[in-house]
Amino acid sequence: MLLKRMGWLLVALAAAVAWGVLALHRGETINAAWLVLAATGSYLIGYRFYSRFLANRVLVLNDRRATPAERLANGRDFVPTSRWVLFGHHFAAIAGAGPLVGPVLAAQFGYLPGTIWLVFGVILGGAVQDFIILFGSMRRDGKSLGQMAKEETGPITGLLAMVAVLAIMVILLAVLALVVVNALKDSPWGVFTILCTIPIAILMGFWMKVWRPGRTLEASAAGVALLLVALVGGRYVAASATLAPYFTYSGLTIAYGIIAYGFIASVMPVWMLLCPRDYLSTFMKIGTILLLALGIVLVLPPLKLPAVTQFIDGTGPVFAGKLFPFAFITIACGAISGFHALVASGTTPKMLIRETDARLIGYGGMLMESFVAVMALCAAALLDPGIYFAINAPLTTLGGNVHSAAEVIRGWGFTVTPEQIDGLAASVGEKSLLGRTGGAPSLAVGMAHIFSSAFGQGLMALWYHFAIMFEALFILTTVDTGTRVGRFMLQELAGQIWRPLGRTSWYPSTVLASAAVVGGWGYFLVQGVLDPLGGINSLWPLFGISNQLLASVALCVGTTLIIKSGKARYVWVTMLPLAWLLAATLTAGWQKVFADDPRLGFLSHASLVAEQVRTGVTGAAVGTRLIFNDRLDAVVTITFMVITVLVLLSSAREWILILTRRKPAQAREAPFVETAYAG
Amino acid sequence: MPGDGGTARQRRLPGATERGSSGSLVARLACVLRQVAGMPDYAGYAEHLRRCHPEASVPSESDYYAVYLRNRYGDGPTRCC
Repeated sequence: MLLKRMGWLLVALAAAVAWGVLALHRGETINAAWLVLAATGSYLIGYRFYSRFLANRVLVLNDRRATPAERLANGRDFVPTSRWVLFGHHFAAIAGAGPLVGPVLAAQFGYLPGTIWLVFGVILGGAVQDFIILFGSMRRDGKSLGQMAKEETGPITGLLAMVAVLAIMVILLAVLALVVVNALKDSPWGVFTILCTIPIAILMGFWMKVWRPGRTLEASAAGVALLLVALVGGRYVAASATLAPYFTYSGLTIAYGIIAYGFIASVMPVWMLLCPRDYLSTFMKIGTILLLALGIVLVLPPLKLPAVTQFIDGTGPVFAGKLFPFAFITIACGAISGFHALVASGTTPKMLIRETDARLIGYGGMLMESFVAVMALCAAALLDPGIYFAINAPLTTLGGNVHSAAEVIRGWGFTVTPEQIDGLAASVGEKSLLGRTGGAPSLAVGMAHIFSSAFGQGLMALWYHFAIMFEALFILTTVDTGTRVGRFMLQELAGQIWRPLGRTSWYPSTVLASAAVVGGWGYFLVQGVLDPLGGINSLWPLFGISNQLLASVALCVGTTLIIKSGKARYVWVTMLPLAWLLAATLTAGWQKVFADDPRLGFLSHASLVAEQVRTGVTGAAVGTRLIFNDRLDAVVTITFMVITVLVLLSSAREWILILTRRKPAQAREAPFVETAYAG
Repeated sequence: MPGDGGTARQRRLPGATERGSSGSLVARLACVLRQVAGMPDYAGYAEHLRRCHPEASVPSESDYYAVYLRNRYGDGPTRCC
């Protein structure tokens, strides 16, 4: 007992020392070990003490109570699954591109703000949200977030939540596709490898369904092997003067390619393309993340990025806006992500064997995702700051060539030479890395650095393209599964207007709804590619705002669940993160719409363009398009904000009714059934 | 359907050993990988039917796969950003 306490005291001390070093360090570089130590130490303390408090006092998990997996076992979706396996399953479902890209973009503020938000945000906010929603869904036979919102707060809240999810999906798919476009433009190696994933997936699909039914693992192993062959083959394609032009495309062409792909993948039978790609990307994701963790621990690279940069004043080149609120919406996944509420109320609650497993899987799974985000931050922070900004600032800011870029970056106070930029591009097998905004390429450079230091020098180019392939593969998997999900949601909504449109088996309805969803995100994607400010500047904040507002909706539902289960005295566990999130996100939304700085505010940018059209700096056609997009972005932002405020108000009304005893505190949980499992 | 999971009281906790994989280390590892990736488990489903619904006929593997795909990609996001 005493020994155990001493152990936890040591963990707490180690974390505190590491935080102290991070906060007080004033030198050229700092070792990533301090960052990793501060984060893992804090996670352990948070898991051991805070999640236990949540499990025992707030939610009161009860192992005598049979879970849906036990009561409703059907061998298909309700399957009791051992907890570490389910942890892996849940983690693979929640971890996507978000935790990798957001921290890399937020690195323009330095490594410290991102690290603090990731670690404390997850312990007090993100993991709490995932845990409570998983718990709520588990007590309700695996109901979704939307259904819970509807049953516990009212039908309007449910409908609002559904519209919000659909809108978020559209923005999410657009911004993720933009990340891929920026990574693949003018990169024959990258394009070749990613194109190869399509025939590989189709081959796997036929293998699993037609040739050797049920041999999913065998087909996946073959798929991964072929993927690695394609990766190596890409090098020869890029080096070949005859083949390379066939795979070299501008950003716009790639954008249209992804749009066409998204549409085809959404209407094709799932077994042929979507499902095998999903398996492929799951295995690649888990494998690469484990490899990255191993690499960081083996190499423990020095971080060259300053703790805090001057860009906290809002003048950052990657995206505009001050540290508060923009650090807190740029990093969404990894600290707190509303999207998780959808996964935590999807398949996972139907697979828990014991109620207490929800703590490891809901809270612990999210801590793990936060750790992935911390690793991504390390990978970005180990780059020379000059290199980081050369890759991530938009091409228009950098002046279009390495000499002007070096000049601009020197003006920001970071030293970088044109030779360094060119040398790095050559070492990773690219013509140019300038202006590849979006996080994926700089993360890939950082990962390539770690991998080649840990597992083999001289393979920098191969590792870079491995990292690009890994990111693009699972982003495109999100694009096709997301388009499909969006299509189903749209069909459900449209079916309420005209019934035949809601029939998912009716082919015209399927094609129409798919085209509408693809058209939605495709429109934002193309505008992002054409955006003179780099696209990420407007789309990533829009995504961050929407994701955080969805998290606010989830925390509102969580608060309602806590109050209804008679635990109103613990309501601060969701109210505090909710208050912080609303403050940051609504401020960010307001600034994105109304700020005077034209780089930041959509409306002031529209006025600036109007002025430029008047003076003839910008053509009338381009000007009209830019102004329309600014106004559209403003309307989308305001819509997100209004939906969230409405959900908050309707939830608050419910809370007050219950707390003033005008309504009974009664949660609609499934009735208690004693477990038949031996304890 | 409470109690659908079986009638015997005090059953063992299901785990890697129950789902038709009580074989070698490789078989157990394969089972874990399949569950993590959310792959279909026809053998496990057939076993579930035999154990809990002996009267029901076991669907063919391809019918099972079709239902699995509908469940997995039918509604609601299964993947995150």
